[in-house]
Amino acid sequence: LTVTFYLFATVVGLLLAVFGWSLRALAKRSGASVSMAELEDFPRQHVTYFAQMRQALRTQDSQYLSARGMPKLARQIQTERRRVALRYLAGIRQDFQKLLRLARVIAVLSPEVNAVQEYERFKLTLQFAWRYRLAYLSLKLGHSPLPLLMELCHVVSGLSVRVEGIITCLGEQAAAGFDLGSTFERRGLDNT
Amino acid sequence: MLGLSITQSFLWAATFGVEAALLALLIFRGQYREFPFFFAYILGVLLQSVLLFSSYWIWGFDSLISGRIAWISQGIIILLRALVVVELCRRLVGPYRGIWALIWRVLLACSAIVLFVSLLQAKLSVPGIVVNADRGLELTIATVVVVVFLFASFYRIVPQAQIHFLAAGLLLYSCFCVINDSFLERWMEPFSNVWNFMGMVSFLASMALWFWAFRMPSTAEVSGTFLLPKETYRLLSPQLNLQLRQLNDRLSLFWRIEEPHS
Repeated sequence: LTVTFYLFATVVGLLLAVFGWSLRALAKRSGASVSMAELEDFPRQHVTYFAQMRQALRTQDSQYLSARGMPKLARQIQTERRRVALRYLAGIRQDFQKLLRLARVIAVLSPEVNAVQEYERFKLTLQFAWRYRLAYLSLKLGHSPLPLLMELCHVVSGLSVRVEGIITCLGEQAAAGFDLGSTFERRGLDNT
Repeated sequence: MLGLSITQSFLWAATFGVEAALLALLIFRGQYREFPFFFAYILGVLLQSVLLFSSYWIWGFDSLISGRIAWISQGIIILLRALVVVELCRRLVGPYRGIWALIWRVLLACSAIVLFVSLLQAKLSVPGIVVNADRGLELTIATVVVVVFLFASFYRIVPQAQIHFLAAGLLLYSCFCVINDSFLERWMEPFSNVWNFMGMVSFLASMALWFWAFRMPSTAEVSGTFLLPKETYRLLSPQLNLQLRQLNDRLSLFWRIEEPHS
């Protein structure tokens, strides 16, 4: 068999794999349509735990325990807190995805889109997926960048305020005569 | 009688039967109005079958004139397939004007690149050029179908079931043609019978998929889609991207910063 044959066979294999993946992704979403109400909840779900997270991420407790001669308990607490940090990291990912969803819905329903903005969002999506994996592995391997988690908390809490403004803006437009929910249902657009 | 084996004759009859049944289904269900290019394509392949049957009957399966009729009609059919792909894309993302304007340009660029690259492989003999052109067009069709579905997946546009099956049928047959043409290019003469046979099998499989899809009642298409004012995107999209970028930047530092000593 020639090199050309292998080249085309590889391309065909890739095309089929990508098509299968996109069908699978779409099939997952088709059964999980939700209303605009979910978007309105945007980042409150994780940001509401911001104060508790800040408290949990403080290092003074474990330092105090170590100084008091209880290193085992200090380690146990650190492990627990790492677990919490992992869950919070997953929460941040959810917030990112919701934000992304909102951006996509706006793009899909806009009469004009900017290619540069869309490309940037696509690139950011890939970057976030990659960085999230690295951060997750980093935490799993025992690295504890706790101040950074706190910084992330600040970013997400900042987002909640701005996204509330966006949702309000969309809400005003909907109130002005557009019916977003029914549009999604009619067109088969998944806003999950 | 026509120079065809029993298996080929059986496959031909089966394909003809499914083509006729699909055409009847499209007419009786009134779906030819929703999918006019697909209807034209099915009508085209049915007419091609009749034309080829007649030419094989008159001049024989291995005659030069039958071969020319087969290739010319195949060229028309491929063009109709390309129009079906355009119809598929328009039905999938066409109602969303903004992203459609972006997507069709990307698709056009992808098509031009794929076609150009695959035609670069062409050999300078007459059957070689025909086979390569066929492979290039089929690869372009397959690429466009996959890219448009990737866009649909990215923007979370859930297509109708018929669009799914239509795309799957087009993609399967196009991919099979690419592989088949690559074999044919290498072993032009000894492989031609197997090439015909495999082509018929893959086409029959695609037809069966489409028949299955168009058995289902189609979802009523709503004329006109709700669109936000232009300003909404202009105002909000950069803001949202900025926020996404901020989240991303923080995450990139996640494993780099050491905890400060208090």
